[in-house]
Amino acid sequence: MRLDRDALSTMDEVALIQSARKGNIDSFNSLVLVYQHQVYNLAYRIMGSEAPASDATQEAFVSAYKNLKSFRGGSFKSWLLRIVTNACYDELRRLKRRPAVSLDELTNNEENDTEFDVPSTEDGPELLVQRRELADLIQSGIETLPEEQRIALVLSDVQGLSYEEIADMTNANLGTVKSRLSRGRARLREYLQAHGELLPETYRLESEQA
Amino acid sequence: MKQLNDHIRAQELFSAYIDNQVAADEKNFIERHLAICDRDCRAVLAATRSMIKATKSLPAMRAPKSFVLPKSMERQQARSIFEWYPVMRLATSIAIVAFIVVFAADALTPRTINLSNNIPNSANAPQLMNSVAVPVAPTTEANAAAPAQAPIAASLPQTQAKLLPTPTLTNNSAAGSAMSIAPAITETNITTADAITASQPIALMAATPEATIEPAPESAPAGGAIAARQADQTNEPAKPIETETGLSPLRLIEIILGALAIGLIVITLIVRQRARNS
Repeated sequence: MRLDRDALSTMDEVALIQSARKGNIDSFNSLVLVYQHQVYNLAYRIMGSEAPASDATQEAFVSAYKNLKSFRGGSFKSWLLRIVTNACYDELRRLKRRPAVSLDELTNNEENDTEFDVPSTEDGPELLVQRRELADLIQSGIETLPEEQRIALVLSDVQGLSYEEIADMTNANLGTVKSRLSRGRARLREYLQAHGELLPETYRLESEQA
Repeated sequence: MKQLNDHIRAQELFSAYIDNQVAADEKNFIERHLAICDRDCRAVLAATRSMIKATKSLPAMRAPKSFVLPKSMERQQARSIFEWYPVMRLATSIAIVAFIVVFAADALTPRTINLSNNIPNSANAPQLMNSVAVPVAPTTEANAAAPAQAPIAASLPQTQAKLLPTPTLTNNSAAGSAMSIAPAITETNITTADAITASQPIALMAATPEATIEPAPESAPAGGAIAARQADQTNEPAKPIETETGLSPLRLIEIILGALAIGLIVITLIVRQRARNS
């Protein structure tokens, strides 16, 4: 039986969690199979590449298993996502402190498992944008953001969390979340525009025609 | 330059505006400004909306491998402190019950009667002389006194001796003989009483084999040594009776059990707290 999110009812999940809390690792691994894609996806969007995302994901599940007693009910998925978010945040801070690796090296990573290259600024503005190219560019742009803005933007626009949920997950207040999100989005927009996307001319033209 | 400030201020609010997270006055300001803006604010707003839409449409990544944990990581739950709580609870309950049982046994044991036996004992002798009936003290004492009386009378170096049946060493017959002896005793003078009290230790010795009742050793104020001998033959510790506030072994057991119960209660509560917090 292939386990995915839809196949697992709330009651089944509660039973699995109870069993896992007593130490039953098979029950816990059933939960891993259900949530690992979402957890990895979030980690990937924050970290930008497969290796650090996998590390953060594995670390998050190990930590979740060891600290199951501290899960007091509510959304198990949110609890997991919070753990992986913290793991990513810690790793980003750690990488920032390491003198050997610069942030530029991280953002221009070659490990992206994508087919298309990032369009350079020399190419000039393009009106039609390949969805895949834009996706890669957005990911690269996210990686230029400082960790707090990056996490706020990914939680909001990739994961779809509300401001309140983001505030809860990052232990910040609502005003801080608003501010980080606003700055992160502005910075990403400027990055995209600098790389030939979302050009103001496009929208000025559209709004004038409207 | 108010106009430049308006552009900057409006653009700062675009993110929250798109998410409907602005206050009413902020919303009014933005919409008023957008209507009259002669720079690229409208374009910026549109580009931001477009970007958010594109970000939300990013393809969902799937895990490149399985992140299940290895079996070797399984915790040994039996050793977890969480499992200790039922054990501690049981041990505490047993200790409390044991304490209550011993305490109750101690409290219900009629040892307090012995104290009353001590004092009137010397007065009992004259009483016996005056009445045929057994002394007011409980029947147990009567049984003890009765066989004591019989041998006492036997030791009297008078004609009363012939009146005495052989001490058959049963309480009933001894009581009967005591009854018959009593009149004989009453005929003697007070000095006999001294003889009685003096010879009581000897009487007690004779009465011992059958007098397994507690009061027997305790009715002799001067019979400390005898009491000790009695202690060997009876189950009750006789020695401490003389001291009213002494620490009997039973008391000691009670104290130990009580302290143990309290200690276990505290430990159990700590374990329960740890289990809930962990």
